[in-house]
Amino acid sequence: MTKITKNIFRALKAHKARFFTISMVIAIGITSFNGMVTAFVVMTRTYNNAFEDYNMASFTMQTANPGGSGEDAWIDYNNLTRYMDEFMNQGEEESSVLTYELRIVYDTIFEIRGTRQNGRIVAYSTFDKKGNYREQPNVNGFKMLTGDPFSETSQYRNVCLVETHLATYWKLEPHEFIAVGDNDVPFEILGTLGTPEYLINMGSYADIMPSPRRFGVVYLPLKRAQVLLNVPGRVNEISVLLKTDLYTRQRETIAEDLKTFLEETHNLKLSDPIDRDKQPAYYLLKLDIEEAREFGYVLPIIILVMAMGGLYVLLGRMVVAERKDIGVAQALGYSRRTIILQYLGIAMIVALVGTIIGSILGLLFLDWFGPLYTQMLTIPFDPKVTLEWPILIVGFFLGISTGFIGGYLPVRGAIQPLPAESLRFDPSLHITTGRVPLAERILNKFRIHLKVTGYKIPVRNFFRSKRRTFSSVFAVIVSVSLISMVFGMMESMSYALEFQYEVAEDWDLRIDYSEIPSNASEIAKAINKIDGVSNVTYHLLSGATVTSNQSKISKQIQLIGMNDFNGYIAHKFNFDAGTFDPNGVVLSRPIAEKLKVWEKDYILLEIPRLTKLVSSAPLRAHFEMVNVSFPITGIVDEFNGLVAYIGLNKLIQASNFDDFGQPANIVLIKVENPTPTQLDSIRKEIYAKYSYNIRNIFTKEEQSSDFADLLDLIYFIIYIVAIFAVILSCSIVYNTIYINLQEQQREIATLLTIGTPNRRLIRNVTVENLIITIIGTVLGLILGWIMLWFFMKVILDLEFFRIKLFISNETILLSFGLTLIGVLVAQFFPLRRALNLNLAEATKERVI
Amino acid sequence: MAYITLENVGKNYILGETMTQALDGINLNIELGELVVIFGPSGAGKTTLLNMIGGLDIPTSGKVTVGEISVSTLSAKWLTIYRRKKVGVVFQFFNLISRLSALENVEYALELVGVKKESNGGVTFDSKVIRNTAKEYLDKVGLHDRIHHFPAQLSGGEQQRVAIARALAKEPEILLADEPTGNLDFKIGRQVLEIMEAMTGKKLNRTVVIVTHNEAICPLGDRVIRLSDGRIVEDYTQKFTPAEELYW
Repeated sequence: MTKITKNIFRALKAHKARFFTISMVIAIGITSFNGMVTAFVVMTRTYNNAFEDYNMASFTMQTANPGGSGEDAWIDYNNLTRYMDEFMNQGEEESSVLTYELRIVYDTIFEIRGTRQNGRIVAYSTFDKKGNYREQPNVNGFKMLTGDPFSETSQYRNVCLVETHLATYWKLEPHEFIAVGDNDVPFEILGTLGTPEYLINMGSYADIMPSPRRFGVVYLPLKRAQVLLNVPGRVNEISVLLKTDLYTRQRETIAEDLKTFLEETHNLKLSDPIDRDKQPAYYLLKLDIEEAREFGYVLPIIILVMAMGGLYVLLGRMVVAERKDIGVAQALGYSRRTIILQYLGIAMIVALVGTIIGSILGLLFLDWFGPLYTQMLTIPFDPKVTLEWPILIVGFFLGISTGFIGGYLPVRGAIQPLPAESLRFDPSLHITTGRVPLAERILNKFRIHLKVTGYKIPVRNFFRSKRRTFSSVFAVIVSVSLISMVFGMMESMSYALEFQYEVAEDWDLRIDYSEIPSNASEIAKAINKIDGVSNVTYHLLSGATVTSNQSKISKQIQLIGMNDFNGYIAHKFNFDAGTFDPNGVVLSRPIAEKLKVWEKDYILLEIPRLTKLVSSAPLRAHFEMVNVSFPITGIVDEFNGLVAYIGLNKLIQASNFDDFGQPANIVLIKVENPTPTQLDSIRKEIYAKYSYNIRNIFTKEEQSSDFADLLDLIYFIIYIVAIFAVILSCSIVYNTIYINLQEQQREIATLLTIGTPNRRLIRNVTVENLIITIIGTVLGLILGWIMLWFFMKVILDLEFFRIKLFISNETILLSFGLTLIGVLVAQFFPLRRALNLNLAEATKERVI
Repeated sequence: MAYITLENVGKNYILGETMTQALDGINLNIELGELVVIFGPSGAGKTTLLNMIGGLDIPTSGKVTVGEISVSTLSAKWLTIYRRKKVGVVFQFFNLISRLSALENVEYALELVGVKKESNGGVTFDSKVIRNTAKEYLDKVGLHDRIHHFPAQLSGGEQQRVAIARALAKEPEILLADEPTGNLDFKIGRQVLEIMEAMTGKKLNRTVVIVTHNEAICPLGDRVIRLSDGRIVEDYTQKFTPAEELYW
């Protein structure tokens, strides 16, 4: 063994506990890197495989009025088949369209175990063009998870397959029955399925809180759906599968060509095609994937940077303490490079140990980490977890780099080129500025003179060297920033939810309609007569596009038409500017910022304008999309970040609907004494008397609880961060405070020799650590806030969910308190040792 | 009756797996005001003996008595009080508090015990009195123009002089000096001894014990005790030689 190697191992042995702590921090960083990135890769691969294996549609196109009943709502199946084949066979080149599927996709209501909820029927033919039975459609296939698929005879029976999110939520089993549609037709469940089309359970962009409680998908044989909806031989959607090697732009061009062909050649009326990238579930999944990816990189990098800081502090102090030995070694003939290598070797071994442990832990927990995201996002396809060598290798290099950077920087700076410089070096000079610190001089100006046996030594200890001060405070900054960030995340989210449901949403029961009733005011009046109901209002919720007149920037939003011009009873606004005016719109702040508009500016709202009324109860009509200019009368900062409010009458007027009553799809009810029993009783009465067209009636608590369920993923991530934060904080604080006290051992021995009582020494050390904790807390809170903002941006779309980020006074106190407890625990053992020092021995050598 | 009495004092250290006998049945009496030089080679047990007297260490066997105090049986708390009130220590490596200036180092010791009032023999903790007393002592060791300097800004001799001022300012009955010149050159070392000589002695009723391996310092003492392998091999009194006449 060479001299260098011996020295390295000697140093490691001497400081084994501290080095091991840093190794552990690196190990945590590498474990989380391997785990999180693998989970992300597994998730990406799982959905990619799902898309490929089950022929996810390249684009879909619905009829112009897919929910209606007019001639532009349905297309004859056989005719459309012929048109599609014609489109595929036109031209001499091989068509880019591989195959297609004609389906019914229809939003309706289900009744499951006596409870109604929104849902979607997806129906496909169980026979191919040649009349042969098939289990899977050509496009947008699925995987049977339980039970049996449709059989040859299924088209003659009321049977269905339930998409897994809905089935899981309600714990539906094969052979159970659910009622489908307005007429509550019972369908027997044959089995449950998972499909790439609904990897995430989401129906539309307008639903910001997709939950199986409010949205679920049920598959029917095409013929049964046609009977149910009374549209024999008809479909309302085309799903198209293109060649896989096409870009988005190419897919869009083909989709546009198809639309033009069908509309111009065959006089069909169709909606705009929806590319795969814009499909709601796929879009949300992509957002989740992006968040998962960022989270997978950000968390480990923060941990590794902290480990790097810890290593920097530890080696920096070690090199300072051993500066004279370094000088001697140089004088004996060791080159500067050799000595740097020696210290760097220590850092690299620490990093290597951490990296190896982290990699092993990553491998051991591979089966836990791998499917993490797919399970959390309830993706119904089995993730294939394999060892990802590239991730392992990158993780390895990250770990080693942590050691290299954390070790090289302090060592290089501390080792002088000439041995004389090192030999001349006096550690006491290094750790003492030789000046009275500024803080003390300021106190002196105010005639506050610290006693030498009082707080002078702790204050001087803290301020004696910038580098030492930084390294002492570093640990506290890490601890406070992590704790405040984690608790800040939790309380910001809790506050946002609490504000949303306790203050902003001021209703007790909400009715959702499956189709828009045009007599909302009559319904409201009737409901208002029910015993216990104190007030009723209604609004019209829809998706819309808003465009700035000036910047021409557009944004998809949720538009709420409000019926009450004199104060909206079910919602309390949180205005940043202006107020609600029935003649204008109120925008949420993120939209205003995105569009670069503010109060008194004008925006264009793209809204449906009635061109032909088919029926008014329920509303069946033809619309065209038109842009209407509105002034902005107010800006709100609310939980739902992408929302605009407009007066319902103004909206009705602009939609050319004012001759046909008051359309609304949501009724909100205030109850005098909103106990669960009272709410349930009112709900039953509404179902009994006014059940027509009602999809759901739910209480605010039920909605809030559904939303809280949705946030489980985010809370889970926060808990992971919290666990890492606590472990990291404890280890780094303990390490630094331990070093601090060990450096002072000889000095403590001198003070004891002079006759300083133990109590006073304990007080001195505690005061010094208190100063470190207070200053570290201030800086830690600043860093904590930055990290809070960054993490929340990563794990939550702060535009979509408008969450006011803050760190409360309680959290500040908690971060400070927990860190202080950590500091006090950390000072306990080395201080106890220092107080029991052999004074004779400890005072023999020079005080550093 | 002797002021400091060591009766059959032994001290064993366990270093690794081997036991080292630092002191082996030491019997010693030292009078109040006596200036004793303990001389011997490295490992003879000089510092251990000094530590026993100063309450920095306790014997494995035997008894150490100072005045009427049985030092060897004191609890840690009372040992601290004993060191604070009775003993001043000067170390080979000075052991000044690096973050405190020369003046503050001396003040520290004074703030612990206070300053005796000349009027009624009581003690005052008045900060002005403490500061003036500390200045006075630093003046006595010739550092009146360096009082606000920090240890790192002082030379070795100056640091040792601060250490002496710190040890003597609280007017201890016993001054213990462990190789006080060991880390200084001849000229500075002799200056330090001259200061110690001037500030101690019978007239002040202060017992001084100096430990050294430098035989040339022995003439400074009224009495010389030579140690070897933890035992007293020679103990003699002599005519005191002033420090200014010493040479090594």
